[in-house]
Amino acid sequence: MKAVVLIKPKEDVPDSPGRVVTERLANRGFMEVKGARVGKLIELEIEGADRDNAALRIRQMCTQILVNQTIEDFTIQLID
Amino acid sequence: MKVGVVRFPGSHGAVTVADIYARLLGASTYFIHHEEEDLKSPDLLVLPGGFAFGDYVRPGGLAKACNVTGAIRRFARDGGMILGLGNGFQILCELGVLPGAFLINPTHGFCGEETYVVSESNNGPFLSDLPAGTIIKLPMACYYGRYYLDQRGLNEVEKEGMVAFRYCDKEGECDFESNFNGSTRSIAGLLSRNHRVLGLMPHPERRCEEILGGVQGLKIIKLLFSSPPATAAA
Repeated sequence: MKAVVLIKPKEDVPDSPGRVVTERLANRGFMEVKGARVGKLIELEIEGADRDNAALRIRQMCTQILVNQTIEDFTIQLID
Repeated sequence: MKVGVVRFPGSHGAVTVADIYARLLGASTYFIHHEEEDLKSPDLLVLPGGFAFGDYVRPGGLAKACNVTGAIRRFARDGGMILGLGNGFQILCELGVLPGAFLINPTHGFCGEETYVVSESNNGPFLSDLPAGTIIKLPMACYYGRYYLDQRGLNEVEKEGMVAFRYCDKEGECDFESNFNGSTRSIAGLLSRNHRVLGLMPHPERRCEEILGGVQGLKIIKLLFSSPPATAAA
């Protein structure tokens, strides 16, 4: 199975890439964009079919290594 | 003095800092592989600059997945002295040895300019001989150089005297302009709670010889050496 980890900056953490994306889109006429948050996507290929165990293990990967919870939030999506 | 320098894949200041400690300050230096579990009891452990594991995921993030980081945590917990420079500072934050985290610079990318920093206190062995208010000009070399700490953490580090250096102008003033990378409260260097670990974002090891642009950095590098050789005087 595949899993997708979506990581984005916490709401109260300064996000310079998001600010610049917003500015540049406005510069090209996309004035409806009032804000952007730039994060990361990590796609994992997981061996085995136990979804509960996979979710548990991926959460451990996130909290121990992939995500810094001082500055980032994350979500996990399991994909068959 | 015995100085251990940790090398990760992507570290690039390790040879420089080991050379400074050995050649200019007479220390016994050695490198520590990132999968090593035994630090070999150094008097000082140095985490150099660079981009450990390419800064993939985020700076210092993948460095956490190495054997040596457990040893670093234990060394810090037991009161060992650690100096983290640039990426080394980022790794110390990722390990929880120092509080906070690092964000991308707000000024559109890599910063390789020189900056002034001012010492905040003389707490602990690193800063005991450096009068508070000392202004030093040092080179920067970072992409993720913006130090971030939330209000609660900030209250604690200021209360505990953990702020070592702040970005400033040449007069020592810390304001919006001198805080070029938007770091929380202009923090450029931070001590651990026991003041025996120092993380510093600028690179003093790159300003230790006149031929390389000056010796201002030696003021920090030699802080743990009571009697440096005459050739190393800053």
